[in-house]
Amino acid sequence: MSALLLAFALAATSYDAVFQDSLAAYDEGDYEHAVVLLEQLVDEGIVEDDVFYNLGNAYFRLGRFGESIANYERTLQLNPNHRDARRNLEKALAECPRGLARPLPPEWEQAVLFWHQGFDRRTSGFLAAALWVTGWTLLGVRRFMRVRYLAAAGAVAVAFGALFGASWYAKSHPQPTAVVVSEKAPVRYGTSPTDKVRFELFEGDRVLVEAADGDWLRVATIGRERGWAKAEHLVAVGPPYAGYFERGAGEEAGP
Amino acid sequence: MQVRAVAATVLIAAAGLAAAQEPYVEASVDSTEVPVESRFWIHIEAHGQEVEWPALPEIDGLWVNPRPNTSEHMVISNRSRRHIAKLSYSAIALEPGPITIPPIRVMVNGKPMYTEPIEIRAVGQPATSPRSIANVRAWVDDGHIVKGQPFWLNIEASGGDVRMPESISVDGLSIDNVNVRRGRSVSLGRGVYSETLKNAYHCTPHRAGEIEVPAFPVQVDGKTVETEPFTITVYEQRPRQTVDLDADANELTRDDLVFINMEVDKTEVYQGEPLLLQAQLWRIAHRYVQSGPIRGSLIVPPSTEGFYVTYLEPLSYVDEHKGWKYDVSEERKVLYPTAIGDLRIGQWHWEGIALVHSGYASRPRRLTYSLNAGPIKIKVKPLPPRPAGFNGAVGQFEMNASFNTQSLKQGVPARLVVTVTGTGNPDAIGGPAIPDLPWAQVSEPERKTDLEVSAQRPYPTVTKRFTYQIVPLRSGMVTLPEIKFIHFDPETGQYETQTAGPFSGMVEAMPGVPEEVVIAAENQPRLRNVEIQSDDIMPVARKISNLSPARSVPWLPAAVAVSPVLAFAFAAVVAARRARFARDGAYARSVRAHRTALAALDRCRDAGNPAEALFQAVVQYVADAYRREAAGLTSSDVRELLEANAVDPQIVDNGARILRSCERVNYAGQDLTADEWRALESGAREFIDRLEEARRP
Repeated sequence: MSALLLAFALAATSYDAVFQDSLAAYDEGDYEHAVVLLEQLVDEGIVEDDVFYNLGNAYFRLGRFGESIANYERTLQLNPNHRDARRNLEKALAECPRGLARPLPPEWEQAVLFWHQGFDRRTSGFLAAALWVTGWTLLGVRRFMRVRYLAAAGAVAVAFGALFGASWYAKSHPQPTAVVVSEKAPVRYGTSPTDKVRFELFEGDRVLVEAADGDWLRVATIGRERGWAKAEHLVAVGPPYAGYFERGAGEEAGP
Repeated sequence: MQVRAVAATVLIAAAGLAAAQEPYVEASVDSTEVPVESRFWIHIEAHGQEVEWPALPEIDGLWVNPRPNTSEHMVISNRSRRHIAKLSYSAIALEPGPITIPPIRVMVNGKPMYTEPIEIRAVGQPATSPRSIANVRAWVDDGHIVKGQPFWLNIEASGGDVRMPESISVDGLSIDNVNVRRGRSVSLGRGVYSETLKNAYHCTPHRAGEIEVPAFPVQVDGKTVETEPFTITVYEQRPRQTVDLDADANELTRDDLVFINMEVDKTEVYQGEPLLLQAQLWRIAHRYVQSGPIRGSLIVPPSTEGFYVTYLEPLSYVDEHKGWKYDVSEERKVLYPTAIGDLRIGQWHWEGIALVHSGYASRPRRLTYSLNAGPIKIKVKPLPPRPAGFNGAVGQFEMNASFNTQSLKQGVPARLVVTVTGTGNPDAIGGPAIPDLPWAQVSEPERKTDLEVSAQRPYPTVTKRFTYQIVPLRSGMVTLPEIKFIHFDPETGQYETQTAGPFSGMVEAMPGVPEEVVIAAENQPRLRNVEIQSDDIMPVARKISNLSPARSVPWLPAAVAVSPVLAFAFAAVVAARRARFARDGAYARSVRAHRTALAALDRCRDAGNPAEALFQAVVQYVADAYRREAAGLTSSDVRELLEANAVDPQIVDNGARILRSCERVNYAGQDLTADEWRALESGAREFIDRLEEARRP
């Protein structure tokens, strides 16, 4: 047991050291190295809003605004109240030619969960569990004690618990979105390079990924324009977060 | 932070619930001084949650279109929500002088509210002819009408509000006023709503000769407008004619059997102006004559060098020439001259034969034809000096523009559809230039062209649709300036300008999009180096420690979801049992007695006299169950007690037998073997359980 704890502590120290190295690289202006270190953390399964935020900043400094936007989006997925990420996301979008708005969530989510923008996934999950357990407990207690409004309070708590549960589920299973990392990404009618170009996406445009066919992705904009784009022009926001930068990062893919 | 988010959510929800904003109505007009017989708009705006629109009252000196344009939208800010409904009636002042629009009653949130009265003044003089403000016409489809054979009589009218006549009558015609073919098209150009109604009446002439079709009254924009009267000629049914080429040579010559004709509708045109070329092959329709091209026939279509050509569907129909019926094949082309000066439509050469059968036994006569039509000279005039913005469209066009959405959102592409409809070279119609918009990115338009060919019109109607994708880059009130489309109208010999807009609207801010994302146009590459200035990005985060990979416990959510429900179910069962104990005394006593008896049986083995202890446990249970005193009860008493309570005889026998065994052991003073004791205890337990089971309802 103690050996396990020691291994865990050593691993944590190692992750912290890598993070500190990334900060040092960033401070020295070696943004490429900072990106490599932070991506290493992400590949190790570290899912921290500030890690993605720093990664977004490093990409921003490199002028790779598509990747920068993707990482700010991840940060805001994990912590919607991350003000710095929100502000830097705006700046990154302002550096892009168009900056299409983020695709809207599904209609059921817009209708039922219009209120949950300010909650992160953990908070929603915690509130869901607490309200759910409390509600059923109150309802259970009500079976033994006649206390005024206890049943109503229990029912309300259960209902809110279910609502926060839905919020937790929606935040745990976000729509698959992606950000354009090429200067221009032609979106075609089909999955052949000879298919007619239907419209073009620009760096920083955020799109919904509806389907995949080989190295082609069927994407939809917030304006419901649909078409097939090569995956090399896009980077997925996730989750999952690890491994998505392997194919597009590090190269400015042309259309 | 989360607490603040919760509080903000609650506040926003409360603000939304308290959205019963101040109800408000207001009426306005475009101008308080309006020209007579010109259209203007009366606007009524209401703010509230529920708005029931009024029917406008009759207003002296004013005609009001009863079908208004409506728009409703919700303006949501962080603190309030406003529901805004707008109604716009088009109206026409009929006479000069002052006009008062009285207070208009509008039901807002279930309460009546009234607009302020408005004084306007109509100036100018009404036109002398009612036809000046409307477009109505009547016509018949068939050029040759025969007595007893039905045909269609058409009436078409355009305007803001068109009411066709309920029924029509014409002396000499039987008209079906019930099964009327009705058509309606609507257009919105330059902010003016217009509709075109067309009624087609099925008519059958019941006499030959000249029939006068009178003027029909049509209500257009509140005024009565009449169609032009006209005359139709109805023929008697034509007698059957026979062909005998030898006998009727004077009447029907060889050249009458097959001939060609080529014509244009005009020979002097402007550059780019459409003209229609019709090349007709006439072949007599008679059972004794067959005609057409044969293998090896040379057919040379007319050359159209110097023209842009649109090919129309060829027509085949029956027509009449010198009283004979012909099958006519017609090739049609619309020509748009691309050069000025004298152009030439080349000669059309056609070769073929006609076979004339003169009797059953004889061979048909074979006549060969080598026919020519044309050439035709066309004089092409140059266009007058071109104004700025003219992109080559020559013809008569209308332009409409509309957005595909009622609400604009920042960063969300909206589509502006500009439709140009008319007659002219579709490839020469360029998209109207959209003015530079500081608030949006405008894409190159998608183009779509439709050609509609109608027998009623000499030229195909071109509809060219330009779809611009407009991405608002900032939120707030924005305006798309007037869009202009300049074309040359050959009929007037002048350039004409069609306009649409301006369009104004509110762009809603979208979360995650900066307040303003206006950046260089896509064709201007951006400088990609990042300038570090005071307006720099926020710094990196430094206070992170104990980083560890994310761990997920897949079963935890399910466990959290299910376990409280199971616990509640358990609690509910326990509570129900407790409630029954409290409510049902017999049940409680029975359960308690059963439990006590089983506990006593458990203790028997360790008692000084196990048989006596077992006997007492069983007797105590029976006594408790049937509310009797246990002391002094024997096995016979127990049997009687059980039988008196109608217990199953088998259970009674088992009980009595166990008790007797205990009595025997007790009184005989003999010890039981381990097996005997086990059997006795087991039998006692079974007896108690079965009796308990039998007693419970």
